[in-house]
Amino acid sequence: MTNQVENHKELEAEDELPNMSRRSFFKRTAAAGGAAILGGGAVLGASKTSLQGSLNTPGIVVDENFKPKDQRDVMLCHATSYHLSQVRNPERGAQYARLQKKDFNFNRALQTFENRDHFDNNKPGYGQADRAIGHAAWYPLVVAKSRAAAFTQPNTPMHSWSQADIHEEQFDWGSGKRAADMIRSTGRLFGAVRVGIAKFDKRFVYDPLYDLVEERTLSWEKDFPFKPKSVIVIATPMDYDNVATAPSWTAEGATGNGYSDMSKIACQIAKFIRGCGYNAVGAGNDLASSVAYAIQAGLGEGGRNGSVIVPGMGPRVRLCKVFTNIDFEDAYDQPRTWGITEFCKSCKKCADACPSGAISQDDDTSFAPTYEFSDEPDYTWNNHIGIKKFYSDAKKCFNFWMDNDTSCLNCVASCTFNEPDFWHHWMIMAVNPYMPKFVHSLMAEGHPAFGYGGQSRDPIPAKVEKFWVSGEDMRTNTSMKNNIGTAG
Amino acid sequence: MEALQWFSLGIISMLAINVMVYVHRVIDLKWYTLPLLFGGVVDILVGVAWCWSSFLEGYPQSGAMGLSLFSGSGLVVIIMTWRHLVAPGLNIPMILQDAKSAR
Ligand code: SF4
Ligand code: SF4
Repeated sequence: MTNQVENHKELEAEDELPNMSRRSFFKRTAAAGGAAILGGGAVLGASKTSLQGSLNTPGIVVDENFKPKDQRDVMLCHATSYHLSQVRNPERGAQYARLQKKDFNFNRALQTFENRDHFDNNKPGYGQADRAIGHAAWYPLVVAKSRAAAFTQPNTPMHSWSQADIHEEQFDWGSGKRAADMIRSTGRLFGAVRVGIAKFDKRFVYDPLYDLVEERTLSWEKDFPFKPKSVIVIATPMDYDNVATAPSWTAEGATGNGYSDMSKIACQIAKFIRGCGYNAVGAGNDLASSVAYAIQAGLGEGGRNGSVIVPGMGPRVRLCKVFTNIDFEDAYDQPRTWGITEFCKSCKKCADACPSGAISQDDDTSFAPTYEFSDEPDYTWNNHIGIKKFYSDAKKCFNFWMDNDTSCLNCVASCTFNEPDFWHHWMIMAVNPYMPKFVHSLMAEGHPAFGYGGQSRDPIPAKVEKFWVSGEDMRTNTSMKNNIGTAG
Repeated sequence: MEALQWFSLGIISMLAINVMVYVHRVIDLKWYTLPLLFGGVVDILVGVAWCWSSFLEGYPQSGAMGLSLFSGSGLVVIIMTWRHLVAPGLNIPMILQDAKSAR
């Protein structure tokens, strides 16, 4: 027994740490570990609070020149309509062609859009498969005869104004919060990544509306089937790797797929609401400015590139809406800030990458366009004047789409906030509001230096190739790569 | 994969805490060196976590940048603190003597 005790003591002495008993050492490490866990928890909590965004923002600021946007003055609507483009306002196209020194007509160019068979399999991003993926992505909308909603056409089959299938019994939600929760959950099920709810605000709808098929204006009071109280704003993701191929034809895969998802989700949520006995009409680009409503619904902030920048996704989302007469009482979302518009003042990555030069290089937002020729009479007809924001020249953007024979997405791909969905990007997002201007500039430069964004005005062949092999592991998908860009 | 990453980082963090407590006890560090050394260690760990995540999401360039910027700056902070604030007050023979007398 004595030997055992002595042996044990000897062993203890040998193992003993200098000047410290083992008990004291473990006590201290446990205390330090506990403090580290508490500290980590506090940082996590503070980050989550920061990511909720601050309500300390006026939201959309307008001046005395502001009035609701006439749908006929929306670029895509004007270009799509023969009547608007060639009969009502032919001087707009003529002025653009004269000032830009180009033989270009908005409506004529659109007639062959994405259907000019000139693929080149030796040119990355412009081959047969790159063309085919775009056509395939849009195909559900072509089959459903609803692609025109992307060009602002209201009342398409998927976003029908018919309320004939409304259930005669109204479901009792219990509270506005419960109604909001149930609708958000339904949206999540159908594929939404964000769902916000804004009060119906007549300032941000198109008024009058315009039916491109019948070439006539429509009124909210006389033609829309009910008096909306709320607008549910839904964001659906675009694939990170596909968007990175912009401005190639390959990237039309993400665009078309986003539009197909938008229509599907808005159509499904509207049907769900009608099934619960309330009025609902889904919308893509029609009925109202999706960006304005997304800001009102607290989904994100307006960026320099004209998109809404959603924390965690950047501008890499597509937005759709559902107009309904549900009253969400005190459960409406409010505009929020994450310091994104402020960040845009120090970052011009989208403007630098824009192949058409359509995006503003201004150092601050303004209430009216400042771009080239904006002082020419009525040249800014497509802009929604009177809102404090960065103004782009959508006519130049549209012109590039027609020349490129597909839409573009370069301002989405190059955005500093366009990052894969992973914790370290969320961490940057959480600290962003507290960073001074010079750090914003560093962050904007750091983004491409870290290998994100970094678009050039032409597609980057390596990115096109990276997309085409991004499905390599999809049989088992052990990296859990999904179309948000997550590898979980 | 992400779960494995957080699990491993937890172990690395615990080891780092062990080392820091040990060093603190043996050398009896001045109070003002502690936040600097601790900040350096956290910086190194953030760099390792960033690097790992960047490789998982398929952006090794971001991993390399994260490692060199975050872990690199953490290492610099630790080295500078050690050389300029810790080492000048160190009496190595005395420490060894202490260690011996504890036996
Ligand atoms: S879509 Fe392309 S052309 Fe249009 S603004 Fe964005 S980057 Fe410029
Ligand atoms: S690239 Fe920069 S300036 Fe442009 S929208 Fe994104 S954050 Fe704003």
